[in-house]
Amino acid sequence: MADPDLSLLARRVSKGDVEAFTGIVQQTQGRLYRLAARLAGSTHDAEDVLQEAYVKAFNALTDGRFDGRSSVQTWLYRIVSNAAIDATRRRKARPVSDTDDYEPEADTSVDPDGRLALRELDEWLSELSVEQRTVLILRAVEGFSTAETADILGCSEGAVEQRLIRARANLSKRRGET
Amino acid sequence: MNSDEDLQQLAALARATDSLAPSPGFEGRVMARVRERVERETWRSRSILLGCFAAAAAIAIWVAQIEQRQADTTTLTLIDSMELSQ
Repeated sequence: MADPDLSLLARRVSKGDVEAFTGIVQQTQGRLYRLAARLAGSTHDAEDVLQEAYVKAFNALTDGRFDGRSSVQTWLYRIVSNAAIDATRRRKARPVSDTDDYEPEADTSVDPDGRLALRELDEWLSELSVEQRTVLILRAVEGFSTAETADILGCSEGAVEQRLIRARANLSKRRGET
Repeated sequence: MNSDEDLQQLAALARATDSLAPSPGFEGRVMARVRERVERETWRSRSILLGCFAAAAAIAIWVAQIEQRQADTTTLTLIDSMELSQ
């Protein structure tokens, strides 16, 4: 998953080249936006999550907090996943009246079919915990291996497998109920 | 439907979201926030540097004043002793 271009750009940013960060955003925004949307279940939250994640990544690069142990891409996936998990938890903690009209204004720039599919996906995964949902999306949708998923989430491979088993069991249970 | 079919359905649903992309100008908004942060940091560093210069200047003036006072005292003592000897 290591991308030499991204590593080079990250090194330039850490040495003070602010504009090199544009390259990182350009190369990764599509994939990371879709990940944020699938995890948060909303295009509205996805953009906030991603923007926050990019600012965190930039700060970490300029402060020398990126140690290069993971690839830049894996590291960015980690930041976005954590930000999306936090956003989802906040969303779930909101009073019901707030979540009813969850997406306040219709963003006309977002593909309506994509948005509809996202709503369906969100509904389909609604019975899962945030952790189970994240593991399922990283493994079954984004195509990461168990080891890579563990690296992204900062947990053991065993924990990833366990969450995956529980997620699949919950999906089966949901299917049984419908 | 079995567990594998669940995953297939999940993959199909996720594929249908492949058309999603950030709204126009997203990259610009990110870079604006990043540049804002850089400017704030630069301003903070300059303020610290300016503060250090101001403190150094104040200490230098204080030291110069003390030295001047000592020199004045020495000169006056010298003048007094010369006047006494005359």
